[in-house]
Amino acid sequence: MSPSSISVITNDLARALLELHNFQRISRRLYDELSQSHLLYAIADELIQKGEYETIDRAFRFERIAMKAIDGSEFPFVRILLKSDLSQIPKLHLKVFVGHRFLDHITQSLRFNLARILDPYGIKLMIAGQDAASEPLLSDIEKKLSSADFAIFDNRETETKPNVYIEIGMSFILKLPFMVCDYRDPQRPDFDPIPTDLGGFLTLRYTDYKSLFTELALKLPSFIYQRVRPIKRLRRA
Amino acid sequence: MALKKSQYIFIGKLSDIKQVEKKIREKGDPVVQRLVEQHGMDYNEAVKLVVRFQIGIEKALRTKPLFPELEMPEGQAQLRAKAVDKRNHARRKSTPHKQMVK
Repeated sequence: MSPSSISVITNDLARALLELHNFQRISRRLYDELSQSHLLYAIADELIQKGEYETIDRAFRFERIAMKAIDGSEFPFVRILLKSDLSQIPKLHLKVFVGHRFLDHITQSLRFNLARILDPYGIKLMIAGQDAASEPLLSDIEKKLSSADFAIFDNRETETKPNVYIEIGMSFILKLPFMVCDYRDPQRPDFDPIPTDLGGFLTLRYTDYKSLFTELALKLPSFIYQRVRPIKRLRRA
Repeated sequence: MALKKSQYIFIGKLSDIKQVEKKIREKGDPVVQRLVEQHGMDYNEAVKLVVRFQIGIEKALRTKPLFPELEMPEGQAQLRAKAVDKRNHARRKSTPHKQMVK
């Protein structure tokens, strides 16, 4: 890997550290100490060489994986996996419904990236219209939303085919927890694609897949513990 | 939103720090090695830095709720559970048997 890859990963780690500092998750003193040293560069170097870096007590590990941009090119991506999440979340046997515009370039890269993010937690992807069944698509969507534990929607390139908003409405009626990946085109900064009725829902605003999946990977375990698991527990009780 | 006292992150208990430090010194750590060999850092300083990093990040990520905005709106869990049970119940119900006419 080139030195530029090391600097990309170092910058990603620095951004993650800054997020933790801004959320008051790490103290100012620790943030200053970690960000001013060569530590992040050394971790990035280790990730480039070995692909992962695990802490001595195995409480968490950093992993470098390849993700796909919208044009199909790959970019390096670093994620942090906590041992406690990896042992608890797969036990829930979760299924996620994914709604997005069915265009080749979106389908290929979005599903690829989602599969990589969800795989360590054993979460299965459910996508409507995949089975060659004779029933109407809307019935298939309703059935899959009903059996899913949560949903992820992406509104990228849905201006002319806003099916995803119908699916979001159905999820709301079915009381299904969901996240909306809200794409903002950098070329049209004033364009707000989200209908006003959907204001106030959990949205992950993004301009590229790197920013989207960084936020998704970080928030997914919390989303599962706080929104998805309570429903699973109630259903079992 | 102001954080609760329990949500603030401290680096950790002294016993945890000492335990991790001991393990790193015994088993070695690739990042410590890189800091010493490539960046000329003193070994003891490198160990202490990596220990603080590992404990600090672990506590930062383990503390719940990590994102208070993700908390479930009140009553949402019960509503969803009821909605799912109702549908499953309807689906499980068998069709009534036709009575044979003698």
